[in-house]
Amino acid sequence: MKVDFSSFAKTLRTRKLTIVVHAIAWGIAFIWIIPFLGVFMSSIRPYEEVQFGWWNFQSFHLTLESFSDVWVGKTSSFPLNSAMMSSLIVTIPSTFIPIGVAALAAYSFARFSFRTKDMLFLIIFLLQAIPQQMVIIPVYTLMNNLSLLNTYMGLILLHTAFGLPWQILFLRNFFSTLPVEVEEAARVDGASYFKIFYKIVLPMSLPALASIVALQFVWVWNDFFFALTMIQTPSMRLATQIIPANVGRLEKNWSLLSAASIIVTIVPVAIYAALQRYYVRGITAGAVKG
Amino acid sequence: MTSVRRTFDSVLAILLIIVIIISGVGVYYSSAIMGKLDEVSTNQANLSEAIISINTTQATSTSLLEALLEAISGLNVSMPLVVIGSATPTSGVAPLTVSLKAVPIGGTPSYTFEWNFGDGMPTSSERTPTHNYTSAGTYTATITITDSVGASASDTVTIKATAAAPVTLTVFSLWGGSEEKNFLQCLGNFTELTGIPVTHYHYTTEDLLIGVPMQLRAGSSIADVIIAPWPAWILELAPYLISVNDLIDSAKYPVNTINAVKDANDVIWAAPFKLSGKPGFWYKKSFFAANGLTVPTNYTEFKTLLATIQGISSIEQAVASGDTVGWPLSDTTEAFIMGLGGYQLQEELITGPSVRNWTDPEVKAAFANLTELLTAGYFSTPADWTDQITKFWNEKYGIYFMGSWMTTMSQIGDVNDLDFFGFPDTDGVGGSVDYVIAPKYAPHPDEANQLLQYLAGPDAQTIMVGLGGFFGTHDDVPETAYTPLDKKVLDFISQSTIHIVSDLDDAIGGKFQTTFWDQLKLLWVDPSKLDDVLNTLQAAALAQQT
Amino acid sequence: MKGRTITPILFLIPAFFLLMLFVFYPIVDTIYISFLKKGTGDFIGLQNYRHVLFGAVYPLVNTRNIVLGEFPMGSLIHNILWIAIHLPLTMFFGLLLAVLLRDVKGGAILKSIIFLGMVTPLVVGGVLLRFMLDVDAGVANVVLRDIGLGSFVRDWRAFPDTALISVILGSVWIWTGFCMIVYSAGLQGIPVELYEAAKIDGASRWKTFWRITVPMLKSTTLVVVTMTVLWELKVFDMVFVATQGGPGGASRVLAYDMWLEGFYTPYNFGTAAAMAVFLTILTFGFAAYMVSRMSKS
Repeated sequence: MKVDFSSFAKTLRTRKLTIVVHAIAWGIAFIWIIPFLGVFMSSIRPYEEVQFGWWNFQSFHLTLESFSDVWVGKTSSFPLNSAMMSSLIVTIPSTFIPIGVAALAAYSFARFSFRTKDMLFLIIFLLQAIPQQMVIIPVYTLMNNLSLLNTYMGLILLHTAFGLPWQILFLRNFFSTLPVEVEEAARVDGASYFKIFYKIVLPMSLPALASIVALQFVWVWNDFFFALTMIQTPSMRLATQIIPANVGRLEKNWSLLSAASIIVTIVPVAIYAALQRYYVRGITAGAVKG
Repeated sequence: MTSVRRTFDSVLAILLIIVIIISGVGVYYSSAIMGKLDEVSTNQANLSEAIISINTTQATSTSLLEALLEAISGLNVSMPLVVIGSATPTSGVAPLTVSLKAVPIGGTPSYTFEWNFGDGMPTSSERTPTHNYTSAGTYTATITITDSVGASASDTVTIKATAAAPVTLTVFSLWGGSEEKNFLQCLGNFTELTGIPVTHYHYTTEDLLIGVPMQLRAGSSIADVIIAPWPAWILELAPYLISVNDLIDSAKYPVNTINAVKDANDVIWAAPFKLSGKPGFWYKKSFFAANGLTVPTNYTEFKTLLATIQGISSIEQAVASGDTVGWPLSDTTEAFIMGLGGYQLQEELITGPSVRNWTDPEVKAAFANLTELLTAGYFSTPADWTDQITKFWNEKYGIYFMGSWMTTMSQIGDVNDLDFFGFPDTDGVGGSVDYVIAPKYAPHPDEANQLLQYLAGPDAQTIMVGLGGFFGTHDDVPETAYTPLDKKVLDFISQSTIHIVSDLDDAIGGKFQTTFWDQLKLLWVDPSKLDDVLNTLQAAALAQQT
Repeated sequence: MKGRTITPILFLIPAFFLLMLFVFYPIVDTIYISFLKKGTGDFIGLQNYRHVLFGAVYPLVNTRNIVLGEFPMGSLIHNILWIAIHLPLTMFFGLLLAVLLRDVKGGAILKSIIFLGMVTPLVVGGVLLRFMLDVDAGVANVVLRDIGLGSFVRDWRAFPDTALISVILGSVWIWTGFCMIVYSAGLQGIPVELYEAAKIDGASRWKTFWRITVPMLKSTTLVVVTMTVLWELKVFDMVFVATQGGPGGASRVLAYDMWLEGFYTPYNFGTAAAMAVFLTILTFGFAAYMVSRMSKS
């Protein structure tokens, strides 16, 4: 549904306008891309060259040294390889565990009616707005008592719980758009609710589930605050914790920092690229419906 | 919905609510109980240990068979002579103490016993000897008995002593890069001496500062030994640490270094390892010579020097200002506090608002000198402190206030061209001591103590001195171990006119430290804010005491 | 679909168990803690709040500096400033880019690239910001030098007047992608017939924009505003990496203060909890308000 500007009037003035519009659009977009460009440039060149500006091209040497250095943790002794693994260990379960839990709850809200439904749904809805800081103090003590502090499991549980409100909301909205007839037909045939849920509804919901996977994965991977408070051993640190550790370090080096930033960012970008449609749908789902 | 269903719904709804409330309450209590449960189980463990120890001291038979055999052996039935040997335990971690028992049967009493333990140690003639197998291995103990008519019989028992699980120590410190490399060499020497490997982890200031107390307060520790330069922090963590009064000879260390980690009951909680000092302003000898500059002997000459340097065309600013989280700025500031206000002023500020306020005229006077120079533009904008060394060496800056580790920095092109002068007329030098602490919850407390003693001792410190940029705290480190420039720094710091004072922000620590650094960053770019800064520091110092 | 009500309860139990344990109970507990005095655990009512708002070393509201117009003005004010600057800018650029890139060749690719900011970890965002503002290696200063404003070159993060704004602008760069995408979706939802009717009526492009596009985007705008403000109130990562709240507390924000209060000596969970509650009241209150407006429209 594009609005074709040039169909308004076929005059030279309009053609010029189109060119101007293109120029502005590409100009603004270019400004937005500059930081990425800068980071990319300094990551593939040695630090001495970029120390005074990565746009300087007097000497240009390509090197992947920064990447290997940061990956292994040579100069920094904060290796990224283990941190990336730690992030994966936390992010993957934190993405897939909540799906099952949230889907069950969302289905209940979408299909059943029971006395306290509205009240419970309201609670879930309101829980969305809670910031991480609100829960961290008691959670810290709680995790400690359960011996889950400084463990991946504890962090996974925390992320799972925190992601539930919006996922329940999202899936409930989605489920209510599914035609009831299919499920009711199955019910008449004598299927249990759980079977209907598992065999009929879930397969129909793959697009919505893909959206949740995309959004939750990126959210958990990029999270810093929960990881900061829960994980204390340096060897267990997640990728997002390695970056500040390297920034505040004794010796600063933009090439290394750029390489580290690229490595850490590649994963969520890859997920976004692979699931772009679903990611965008997930974000805009609330928006268009209002 | 029928009314029956409605009631059913309501009941279930109420049940759901009850479940939710109960789980909520349950969580609250379980988290409290968990804490108690730990206590209980520890008590139970202690109790059962006690019971077991009582049992094992009894020498009576522990099995029916043996009781039977003993009963039979009491009978004088004419049976051929047989002996049955047994041992408790038959396997374990070396060194392993084993109780052996011989039960003779038949033959004619009385019997003589001979136990050969199978490990080359002298034999025993007891019936139930106890033997200690010191090293790992599989041993065959043989019992030979002889009865009164000369018949003999023997039996064997196999005993397996396994090697102890290998212990590896974990050390945390702030050292990375070249400092870490040197430290690893020292640790390597420890491993050679004791056979205990050590793994070192390098932490950032923030992580060590916050991460370690978190772990200790949670009742666990990953590190066996931690090296940290913050006496106040160490004293706060004292309940979780092992005291070192019996591990080191406190008389062999500078008094101030010991007093800083000693509590009101004279218990010492850390062993001094490394001394760092901030001797003063570093300069390039060749740069000074080429521009006809001389070392200032008093503060007025110092100001003139700055103005002269500032006038040199290739110079950006006279004095380099380093920054990361803020400590190079605080080091410089403290030099001014001590240099212009006396070393006691800094010590009083460390003690806190009960003896000295940040808003007192003496403090303000010292700061005013600093802000005068800042306003004149003699100091550069704070930038990453290692980058600043490069620029300093490239003669973009004339002098740079930095600690004694300056001599080890890779950005220094030629150490022979490097020299320093102290803050003119100062009677105090900022120094910090890196202490070694061992947490109570260390995975291997005994070995941790070994490492602690080693690091606090002269051998380890002499090694570190030899590697450069290190001043040992132990009296027995030979002076000849130092490089010439380091020796000059050491001599300077050791002068009778110079008092070594703890780094101010390290000593106070916590939120005050971050505030201090933060405020100095502000002061550097906007010296007119001096009053605000001092007021904020005063408020922060007061807050730190609660 | 109605059925025996045991099943819906069963379906809900896993979710509610986790939520109860890790979200609901902590919320209640945090509120409770915020009323307690440090160390003794006495109930001291609103004292923590008062201290945190006005009395602390870095109060949430620094009335003196507000009057003087100098930084730091207090974390609460910093967050409000964040909203005041960030929200209009991201909405403006988001809408502009959404409109412009609809018809431009390669618009989809550009949109994807701009949106990458949303997918980037915010700690990396902080690094990018520091990198761009670096005196020697940073783009911002190079541009200034090139256009002849070399005297303005400085490390913008290091000065109290500009530290907060620098970080805010950095966050604008990150967040604009979100507004753009949401507005794009909103624009797609506007029926073509409206535009064609306007064309027949001979309306100018400008008028079309203001009379048709903007009103039709009203509900989208509500969502954009809600999500953006909530995000602005909760910023932490970027401040942590870019400035650590400095210099002199000039770029501190609520979330950062709360973390500092509770996790640095002298640890004070009471005041930290008070900050958290305060932050939540703001986010919650705002969200509730926006939701009520959305359900009205």
